[in-house]
Amino acid sequence: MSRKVVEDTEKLAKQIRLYILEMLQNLGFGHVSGSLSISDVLAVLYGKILRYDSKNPHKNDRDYFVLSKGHGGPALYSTLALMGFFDKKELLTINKIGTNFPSHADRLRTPGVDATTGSLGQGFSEAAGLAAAAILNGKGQKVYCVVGDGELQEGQCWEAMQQIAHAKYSHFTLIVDDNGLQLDGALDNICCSFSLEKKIGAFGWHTLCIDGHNHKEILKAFEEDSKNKPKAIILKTQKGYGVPKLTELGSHHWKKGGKDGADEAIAQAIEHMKKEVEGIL
Amino acid sequence: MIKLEKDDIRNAEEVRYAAIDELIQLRKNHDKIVFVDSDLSEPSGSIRFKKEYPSHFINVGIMEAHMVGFAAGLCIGGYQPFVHSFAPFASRRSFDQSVIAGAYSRNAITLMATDPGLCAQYNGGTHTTLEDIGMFRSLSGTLVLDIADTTQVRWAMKFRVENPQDLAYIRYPRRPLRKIYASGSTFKLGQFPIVHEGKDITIFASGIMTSLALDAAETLKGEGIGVQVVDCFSISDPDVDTIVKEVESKRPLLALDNHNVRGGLATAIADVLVTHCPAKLHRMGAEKFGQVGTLKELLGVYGLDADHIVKKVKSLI
Repeated sequence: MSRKVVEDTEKLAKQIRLYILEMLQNLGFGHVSGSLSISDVLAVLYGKILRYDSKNPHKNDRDYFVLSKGHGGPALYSTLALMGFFDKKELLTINKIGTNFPSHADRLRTPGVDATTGSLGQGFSEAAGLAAAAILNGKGQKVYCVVGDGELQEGQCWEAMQQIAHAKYSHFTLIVDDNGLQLDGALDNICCSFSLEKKIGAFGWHTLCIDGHNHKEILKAFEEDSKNKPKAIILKTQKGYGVPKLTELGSHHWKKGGKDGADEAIAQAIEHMKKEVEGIL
Repeated sequence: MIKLEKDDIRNAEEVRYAAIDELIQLRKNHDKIVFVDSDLSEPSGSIRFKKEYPSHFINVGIMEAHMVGFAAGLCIGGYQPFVHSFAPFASRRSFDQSVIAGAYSRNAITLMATDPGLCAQYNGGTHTTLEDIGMFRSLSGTLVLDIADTTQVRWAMKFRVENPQDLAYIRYPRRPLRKIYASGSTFKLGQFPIVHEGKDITIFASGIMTSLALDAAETLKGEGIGVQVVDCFSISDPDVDTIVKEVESKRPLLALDNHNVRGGLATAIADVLVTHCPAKLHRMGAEKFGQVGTLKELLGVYGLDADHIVKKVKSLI
């Protein structure tokens, strides 16, 4: 893979992050950290891997993407805007009454969103159904689904995990945003996930564990042969990646007006990023 | 158009096979139909569908929550999933999935919920579903049908295949039922058929209670008491005109539920009464959780068999 490919997706990831920060700063609150943690994988997916047509989001040979951790909506909306699904200015309506960009991804509102998610675990099952549909369609469509490590506490995820492996959906790629944090704090303190790699591997998946912010590793993981099994890519990520203060705070949900330094850090990050890539405004 | 069955046909065909066989017929011209079951392909009869269309039959195992989400994915991918489980699992076990992946997402999943209410028989209290109508009729845009016979279940399958919109919850017993409607009868949502005419009392019934109401009506007819029986099959879409007309007749009104008295058909009728024409509504339905027994025994214990209906009618007129 060329250096250029990685440079392109890295630049895209920066732009996704900038949009996330701008739209949530404009709103004054939101799921900022868990959106920043998946910006790199979304940049690689939408930049190099997924097959889609932003002018025809329901095109019948598209690859399917499901953001099962629906609260990462801002990251997905930013990505879709950058890929031309809609005007980037629309992002600033996030969570305002009547918006097409609610906190959690909604298939009936946002062009390019296939599954309504937010009730954790459900998107994973919907992605499994899409994988079955892809087989019946016979157009070589692939399915990509992002779950959070906290989300994997939901029992439904393991129903999906087992059924997908049993059905040998080798065109299915699960992406785990393994950032180690959930709403109330560290998974290790609330309900630890033990070894995701061993657990998912034991369910019969081809499993990889990589640095979730290293584009070269992410691309390589997508391209790796899964040996006729579904593939799970466990991304070791940091919540708030790109804004060191947010990573340090480890917070799930940001609200303007706190005294923890997050407001200033977000403002500084926006200024800094704007020197490198184009923002919404 | 509905036509009432002239002959007294009981135990002619099991409702489950009528539903599945109809889907197999429909599949010939509708190649997007997919059947999804949850380790119950023998009890549901869907094994017949599998035999005919193996590539379009998926058994996900004992994973009802996953199954409903999975069906939503099939919808998004362009298919029409018909999804089976026993009523407790098609309703309670997977309700958030039905709400979010189904109704809220406007995915046209058809849930086929077998052996609702006391039809759970020997599976007992854990499997006795007395809450499902209340759950599903509170979901915007969701179709809820309580099936009274094989003709109606065949129509329901055809209706869903031809109108794949939003979530549907269709409850029916697997067992044979008295045939009420002549083959080929078609129904309209929000138009409740009058399956027995009478001047002394009106009974609102649905599902298995419709045939029990008919049995009671026939007994009472012999004693000179006229019973009007209304088959309220589309519980999500009440027939306001018919309900108002029955109220205006000044007859006593009685609703029968193979469900808890709270949240079932009686509540659906009461919703129309309070907004259109306030009137007293008498109710018969379950008022406690289920238990094991044959349907006949259970209907007796819960006070819902034809004998109890006869007694209740006599006390009301």
